[in-house]
Amino acid sequence: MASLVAEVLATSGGLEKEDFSTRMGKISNKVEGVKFELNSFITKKYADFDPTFVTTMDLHGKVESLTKEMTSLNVKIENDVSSQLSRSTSDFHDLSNQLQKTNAILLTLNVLLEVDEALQNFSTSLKEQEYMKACDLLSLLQEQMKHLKYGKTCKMKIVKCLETELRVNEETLIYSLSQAWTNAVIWKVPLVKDSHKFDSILTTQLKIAIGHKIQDVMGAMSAAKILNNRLQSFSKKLVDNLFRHLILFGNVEPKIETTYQYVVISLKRNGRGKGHIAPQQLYKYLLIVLDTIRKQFMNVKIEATENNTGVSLMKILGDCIWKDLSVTVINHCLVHSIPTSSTQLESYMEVIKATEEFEMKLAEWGFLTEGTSPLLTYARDVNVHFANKKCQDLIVKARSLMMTDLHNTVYIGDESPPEKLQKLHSSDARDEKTAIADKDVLSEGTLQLPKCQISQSVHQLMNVAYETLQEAVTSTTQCAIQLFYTVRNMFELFCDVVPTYHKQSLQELPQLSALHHNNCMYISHHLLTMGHQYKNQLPSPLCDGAATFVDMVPIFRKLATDCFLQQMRIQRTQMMESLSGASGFIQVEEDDNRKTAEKAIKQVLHQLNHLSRVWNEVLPSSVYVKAMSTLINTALLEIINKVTALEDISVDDSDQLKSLFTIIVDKAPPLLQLDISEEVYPLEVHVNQWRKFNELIIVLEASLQEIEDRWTDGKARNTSGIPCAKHTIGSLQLPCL
Amino acid sequence: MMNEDEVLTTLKILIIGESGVGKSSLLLRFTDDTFDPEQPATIGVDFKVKTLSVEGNTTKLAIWDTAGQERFRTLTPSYYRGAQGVILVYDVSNRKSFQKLDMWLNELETFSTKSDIVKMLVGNKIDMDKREVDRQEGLKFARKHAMLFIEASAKTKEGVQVAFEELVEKVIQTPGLWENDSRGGMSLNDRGNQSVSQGCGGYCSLL
Repeated sequence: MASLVAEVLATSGGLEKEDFSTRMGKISNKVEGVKFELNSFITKKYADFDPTFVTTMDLHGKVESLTKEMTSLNVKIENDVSSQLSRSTSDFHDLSNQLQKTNAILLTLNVLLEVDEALQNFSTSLKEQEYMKACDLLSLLQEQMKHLKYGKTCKMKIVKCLETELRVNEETLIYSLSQAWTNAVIWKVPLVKDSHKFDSILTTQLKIAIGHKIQDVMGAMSAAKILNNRLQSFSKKLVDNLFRHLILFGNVEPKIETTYQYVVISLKRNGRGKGHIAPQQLYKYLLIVLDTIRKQFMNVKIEATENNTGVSLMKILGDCIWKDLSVTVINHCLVHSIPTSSTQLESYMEVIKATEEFEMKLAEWGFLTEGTSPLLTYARDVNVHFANKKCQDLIVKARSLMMTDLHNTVYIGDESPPEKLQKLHSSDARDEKTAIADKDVLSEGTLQLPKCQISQSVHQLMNVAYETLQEAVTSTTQCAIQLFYTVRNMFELFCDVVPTYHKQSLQELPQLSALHHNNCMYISHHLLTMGHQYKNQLPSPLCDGAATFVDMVPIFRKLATDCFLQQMRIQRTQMMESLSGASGFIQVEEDDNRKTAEKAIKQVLHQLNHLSRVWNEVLPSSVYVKAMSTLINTALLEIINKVTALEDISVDDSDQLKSLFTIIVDKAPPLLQLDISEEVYPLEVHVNQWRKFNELIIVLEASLQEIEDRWTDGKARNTSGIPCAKHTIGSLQLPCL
Repeated sequence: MMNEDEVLTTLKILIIGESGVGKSSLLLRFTDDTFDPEQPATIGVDFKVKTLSVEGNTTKLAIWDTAGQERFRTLTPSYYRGAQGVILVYDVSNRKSFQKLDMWLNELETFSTKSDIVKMLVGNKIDMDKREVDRQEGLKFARKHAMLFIEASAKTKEGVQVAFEELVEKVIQTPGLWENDSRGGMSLNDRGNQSVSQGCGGYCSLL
């Protein structure tokens, strides 16, 4: 149609000429034609469409019903199948679980069966005393129990029961082993309260069962991990009850007896004394005992367990025993075997050798690990121990000497000096100074200690000092130095110990202070030369001048004088106290006054007499005379001062005074007399108040005329102080004039 | 415990005599009722206190035992000062100890501060077989020097207690010997009180 319009349009111009009618006609035709065509087309179309539509609709209906059917089927299938599926799955699970359980039960039952068997075997083996087997069974049980516990079965009653059973069995095993051990190793020891008695020590006995059973027991014990404890207590007993006695008592030795069941180790008395046992002998005894024990049960190797790498029992025992034993051997045997003088030092090689052999033997038996040898180390250090012991002994000895009573005395200073010098010369030719002294430049007595008494203990102390130095010069360097300083320490100790320890006696007893004075002087006398005497024989640095005692001389001299001067002061105080009883000699004509004055004088004389008796033989003569005359002088001075201070002396007074003083004049001179020598020590010489005192007596009894005569003669001038005399004369109521 | 108020007085008693006559043994027998045959020599002075009742009077005895050996003697006037009684001992089996009595009396005379001091002579060791001094001799000597006399044995106890009792009895009977003893060294109680009032410890004043 469009084309038709376009034709119309295209030709519109050209068609103008044609008439519209034609044209209209034509168009109407054409429209009619189209109408027809359309109608036919539509009719045709429609006719076709309708049946198709119906069919389609039909089909659609069918499809829908089918879909519905399918959906319902689907739902049905889904519901039914999945439920069935899950059910069967759970069924499957159930089944497999059941299987597992059954398996586990089977397993457990198996285990339980084994356990039961083991338990039965265990008790039978225990009955039959097959401890090793019992022990193996027990470890098997333990293993099984572990399995049981790891499973989920642990809550089962039977497991708990078994666990208890196992524990019981463990304990039973341990108990049985202990029983077996106590039956196999039997100790018989004295009661604790008797343990110090010698006879009861001899009853000590160790019985060890013979046979392989003991080894079985020990193996089992090792597996049960109780062996170490057992061995520890065994070794402690061994040390305490056997070895210690062997070490401490020199007169016992081990005795080994074998019966058909047991080996018996006991102690028996031997012939020797109770002294310290020699190391060689001790080693022999110890080896006998150890060897016996070793042969019985010790040479078995323990099975290697997880943390125990198969060591021998000997090794375990050694570890337990050795520390104690070596300490005891050192402290109670080797210590005493250390020689006390250097001459014995060489023979000590034997002990060292014996010690070495002893330790080697022990190592060979596996008792000792190589390289641990405390005994040998100790023995080899003998020089050090020797010096230490020596010095310690010396100091102890010196101290005990210092603490003994001072009053046991010896005389010294008697030996004639030439002899002593010769002694010095023979021992040491280099003493040139003494040689010069010998060439009569000095008197014989110059270097000699005066004769006096000293305490015996100090004399011994000095001897100890000389002996020690003598030993020092023959000793090794280290030893010599140590010994030298020990001697010095001894003297230092003296300065501290003696004045402190004897303090009270030194103050109270005049004789002791005199003795102490002598003692100190005697020591200082020796200290002067002691260093020189040994200096050149001592090792460096001592020979370079360090070996001297001279520095101690002033200390000792001070010690001597301090003590004695203190005593002198005490005596002076006492005399003054006695004289004060005379109340200044006032009016002695009266009976009471005369009596007290006489008493005072008698007391002083008594005191001086006492001192004379206790000092006479003790002090050196010069010191004695000096001390006595000083005291007499002090007394006289006091009397003279008192009398010359008197204001008024009646004739009777002076008579009485004169008679009182005559007592002194009579009794004083013997006071200066020494018991041992004939030599006379006149009072006029030694007591400077003596002349004055005599002059006083003369003045007291004389008439003024006589005094004047005396004075003009010049006799009294040098003695009485003139003012004093004048005063006294003034106070005298002289008969004439 | 003896009440302090009941004690009548405190007496100072000395024991003197030669060495080895048994002074310390007598004292120990009296105070401790012990006897040591190996009694060591006394050095310086020993001192013991014992309470003794004589005829209802309780007295405290301060007994001073001195060294007999000259070298152990510490001769101080304070030892004799204020003593009311003295026991002079000799050994009946040792004549020398008897002969030395004069010397001891002389010392006592020289140092005692009381003229009427009561003296008792004791012949010790009568248990010994070998007697050298007759009882009569001892008695004679005692009479001569106005002393009490008894023979005793520290070993067998014989006469020991009696000796001390008689001595104390005599001291108490002697007028003026122990009462109002203002100066005596043995007025321990007085001194003790004094020291308390001075606020000093009880012991130092005795030294």
